[in-house]
Amino acid sequence: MKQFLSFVRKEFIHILRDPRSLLILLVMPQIMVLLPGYVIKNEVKDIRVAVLDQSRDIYTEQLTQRLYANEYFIGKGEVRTEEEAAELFKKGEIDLVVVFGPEFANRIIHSQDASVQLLADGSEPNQASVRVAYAQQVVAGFQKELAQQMAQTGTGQPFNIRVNSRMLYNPQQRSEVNFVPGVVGMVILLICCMMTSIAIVREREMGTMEILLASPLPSIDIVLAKLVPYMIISLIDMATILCLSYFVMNVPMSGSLMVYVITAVIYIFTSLMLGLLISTVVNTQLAAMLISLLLIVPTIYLSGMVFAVESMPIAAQIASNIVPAKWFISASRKIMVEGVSMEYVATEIRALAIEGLVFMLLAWRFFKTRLA
Amino acid sequence: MTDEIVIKAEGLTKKFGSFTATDHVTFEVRKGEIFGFLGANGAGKTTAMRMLCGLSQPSEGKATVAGYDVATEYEQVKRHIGYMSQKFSLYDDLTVEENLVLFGGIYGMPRNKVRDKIAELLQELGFEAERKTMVKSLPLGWKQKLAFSLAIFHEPSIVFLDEPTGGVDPVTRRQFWELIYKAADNGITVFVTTHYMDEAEYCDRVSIMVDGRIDALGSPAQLKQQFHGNSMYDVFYALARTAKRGD
Repeated sequence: MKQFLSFVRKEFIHILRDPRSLLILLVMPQIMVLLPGYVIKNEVKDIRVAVLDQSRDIYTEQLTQRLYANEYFIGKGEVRTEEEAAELFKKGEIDLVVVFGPEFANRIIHSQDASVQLLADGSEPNQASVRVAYAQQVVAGFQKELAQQMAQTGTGQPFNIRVNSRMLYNPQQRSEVNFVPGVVGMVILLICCMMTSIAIVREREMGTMEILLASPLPSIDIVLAKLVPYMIISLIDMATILCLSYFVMNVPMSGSLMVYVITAVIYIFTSLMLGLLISTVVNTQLAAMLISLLLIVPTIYLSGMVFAVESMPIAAQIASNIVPAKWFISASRKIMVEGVSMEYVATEIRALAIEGLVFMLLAWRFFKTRLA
Repeated sequence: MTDEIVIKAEGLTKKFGSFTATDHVTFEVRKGEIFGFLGANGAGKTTAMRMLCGLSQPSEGKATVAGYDVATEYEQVKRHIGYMSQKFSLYDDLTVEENLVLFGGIYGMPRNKVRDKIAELLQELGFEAERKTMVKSLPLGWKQKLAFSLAIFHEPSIVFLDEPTGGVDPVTRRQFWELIYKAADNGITVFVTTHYMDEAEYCDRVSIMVDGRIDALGSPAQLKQQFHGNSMYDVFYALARTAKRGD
C-alpha cells in the first residue's frame, strides 16, 4: 500500500508542476461553467425595430409608440418601402420590421380585419421567432386595450388585427443554414491554426530546424513552405464542405461565390498567422496543440456560431470581436443566406485583415529571436 | 594541409544579458585541418560554433569563415559550409534518398549532380539497399553516417560537426572518424566539437574551452607536453578542474 501511495504522490507532483495541465484541470472547468451561465443568454432583447406604415393614422401611431416604448425593442424609425427594409436587414441595422397594412384605423373602426405583418431576419431562426413572438404580444396587448376602451365608450364593435409573420432569408428556418458557416469557420481554424503551429514546432522539436537555418534557405521560405500546404488543404476542405452543404443539404449560396471565397481566403490568412504566432511561443508540439484546442472554446461560445452574440453581456460582446471566427461567420451568413455583395461585409473583411496583420507582426517579432 | 586560413576568430564574444557564454575567443583553422573544439558541457562550445555558422550574431569581436564575415555575410557563410547537429537530424519520415535530394536542392545542386552523387554515396557507404528506407528505420550508427554524408553532400569547404558522436558506442565512433578522415583527405576542413577526450587524439589541433575562454590551443602532442599529461584526458582534467561553470 505504501508503495502505491508513494507512486500516487509522484503522479500528483507531475500534475502540480506542469502549469499547462493545471490550466486544463482547474481553470478550464470554471470557464466552461461561467461561459454558458454568464455569457449565454437565451433571452432576446434590444430588438431593433423599424416600422413600415402604409396607413399613417392614429392607431398605427399609437401602436408604433407602444412598440418603441416597450423595453425589449429599440425603435429605429421608419422605412418607406420593403426594399428599404431589405437594405437595412442586409446592413445588419435592424432585426424586425413591422408593416402596417393600409386603412388600418378605418378597418378597425368598421369591424374589419386590419393587418400587421412582421418581417424578421430568418438567418438566425431562434432569435427571429422570439422577436416575432414579442412583437405579436405588443400587438395583442394593444388590441385588448383598444377593445376594452371601445367597450367602455360604447363604440365597440369586434375587430381583429391579423398578424402574420414572414422570415426574410431562410424562410423555412432550417438550422443547417445557420450551422454551415460556423462549421467552415471551425474547420479552417483547426487546420490553419492548430496544424500549422504543430508543423512549425515539430521542425524545432525534431532538431531539423537548426539544419535548415544553417543552410542557405532563407527563413521566410521555411515559414512560407509551412503555410502553403495548409492553405491549400483548407481551401479544398472548404470547397468540399460547401459542395456537400449546397448539393446534399440544400444550404443556399445566395450571394456571390467569389465574394465568399475572398472572405474565406482572408480568414485563412488570419488563422495561418495565428498558428504562426502560437508556434513562436511554444516549444513542443503538445503545447501547440493544447493552445490551439484551448482557442476552440472561445470560438464556439463567442463567435456567434452557436449562441447569439447580441444576447450576450457587453463584456462578452466586446470579447467576441477578438475572435476571428466571429467575423468570418458573420460575413459568411450574410453572403450565403442574405446574398449580400461585397460592401456589406467590408467591416468583417477589414477586421479579419487587421487581426491577421497584427498576428503576423507579433509572430515576426518573436520568430527570429526564437529560432536563433 | 595548406597554410590557407579558412576560419579566423578574433575576440569572438557572445553575451546573453550579463552572462558571457563565449569570452573573447581567438583562434585560426587552416584548410584541410581537423580541428577539435573541446570543452566540458556548458563551456560555451556550441555558442561559439553557432556564431561561426552564421546562426547567431556575435556580441563583440569578429570572425570570418571561408573568407566571409559571420556577422554581416552570414548568408554567404551558410552557402559554403556544411553542418551536422547534435541530434544528427534527418527527416525521420523521409527516405534516405528523399533526404539527400532535399538537401541537394536546398544547397542549389543541379539535379543530375544530385542523382550522381547519391549513387556514389550509397555505394561508398554500402547503403544501396537502403535507398528507399525511411530514416526512422535505420540503426543509430547508420543515421549518424548518413547525417555526416548529408552535411558534406554539397561539397562545402568546411564542415561543422556539433557533438556528432553523442550516444554512440566506441566502435561506431571509430568508424565515424574514418569518414571524417576521408573528408579531410579530400580537402574538407573539419571543425568538430566534442566532449570525448579520446576523440581529441584524432584531431590535428584542438582547443579547450573553459568558462567561455580558450585555455589551451595546439596539437594533442603539444598540449600533452605543456600540461604534463599522458592523454588528452589528463590535459582536460587539469584545465577543467579550474572551471567555475559546470554541468
